[in-house]
Amino acid sequence: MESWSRRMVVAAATLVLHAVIFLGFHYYEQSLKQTYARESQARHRQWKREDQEREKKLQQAMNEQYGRAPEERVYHNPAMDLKQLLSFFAQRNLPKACEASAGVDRFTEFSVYLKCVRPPAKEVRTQYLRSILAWVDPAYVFQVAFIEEDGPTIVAEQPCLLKVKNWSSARDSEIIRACF
Amino acid sequence: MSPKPKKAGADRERLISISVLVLCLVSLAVHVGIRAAMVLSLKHQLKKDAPAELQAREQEVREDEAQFQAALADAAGAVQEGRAAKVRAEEFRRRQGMEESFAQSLEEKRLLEMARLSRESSLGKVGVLEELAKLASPRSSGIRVRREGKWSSMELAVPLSEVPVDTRGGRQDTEDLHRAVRWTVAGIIRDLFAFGAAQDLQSVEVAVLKRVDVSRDSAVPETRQEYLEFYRAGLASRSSNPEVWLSIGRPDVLRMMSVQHDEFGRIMPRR
Repeated sequence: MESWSRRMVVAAATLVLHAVIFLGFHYYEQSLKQTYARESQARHRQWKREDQEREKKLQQAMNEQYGRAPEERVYHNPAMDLKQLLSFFAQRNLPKACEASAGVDRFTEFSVYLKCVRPPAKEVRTQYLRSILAWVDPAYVFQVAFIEEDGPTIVAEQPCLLKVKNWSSARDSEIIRACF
Repeated sequence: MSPKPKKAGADRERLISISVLVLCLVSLAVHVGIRAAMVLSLKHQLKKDAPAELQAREQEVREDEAQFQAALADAAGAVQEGRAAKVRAEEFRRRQGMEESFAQSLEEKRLLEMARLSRESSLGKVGVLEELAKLASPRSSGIRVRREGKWSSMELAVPLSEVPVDTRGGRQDTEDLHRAVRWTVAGIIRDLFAFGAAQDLQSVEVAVLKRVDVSRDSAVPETRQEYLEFYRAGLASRSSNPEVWLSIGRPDVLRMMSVQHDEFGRIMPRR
């Protein structure tokens, strides 16, 4: 009887030891995995930082290839399509209290809409047109609409835009004569 | 009981106890062994993964760098060749050809539908022109197609109320409406020639009408509706080349079309 109880104690102790071994190793495995995962995460974070820095440097170098001024960079970048090009220049030299958008209707009819609280003066409209059309071929611009909140819309349509021979060097008077 | 069998029983008991103990120890040893092997394998795997990851990373960085150097060289070439301008000219040309990939707006999808219709042969030339006119003009427009010998002519009556006016501004005045009418008429004429020229369309005339309620006699309370013509313009052409019409803009059509009646000129205030 005594030997049976001793055997039972041994068996029970064995079971307890099995559980301890299982739990001990399980804990060790988990902590090992966690350590490696932490190291891997730290490594990936560092790579991400490195990637971002490299991307920035590369982008900068790439931009410098296209030009020094932001306008040149956009203009010379073949990846910028007509809509992106027009959007960029429409947003670039916004008059005060105005917001601009560019869109395309009917495949080739690219328009710029400048919406202002107050109607922009002729000179402001002229400068705005020049800031866009010095870079974007007027043959691609269907119209530039100056929209006043609660007021009428003034539109510079393509025929007038084409009348100006060189938008980069055009005088205000020439643009006003052609369009306003 | 004799002492001999008693001793034998005690020996057997001891043997069983020893066996149990050995069995327990062996099972523990096996368990420890298996788990240790698993841990070692895991460690090995984790250690093996890290250098592989590092190697892949180095490879990726090298490839990125090479791609960038190529892009940089390409960018320098692009500026010298004026490639951006060429790419945009090509984009514009493809847009003029109404490439399906550029069709984003409802208007563009409508134009593609017109292009599809213009290739439809089952409707007959007049049928195609009628369907094209329906798509080209605002809803509720009156459409008449006349066939004279080889050529067809079209007359359209567009309700002024259906002329789309740009509503981005806060207020629309007569000038805005006049512009919208001219653009709409020019657009209709261009679209009809662009897609109907192949159907021997020779002339298009568009009238913009306003429906007004009139009373013949003040004593009679009944009102009667009349259509007042606000604008009428037309264009005649025997160019059956759709590409010519697709490549010109509405400003060109405005220059080419003849305005027969323009009520706006009379009522428009001078700015």
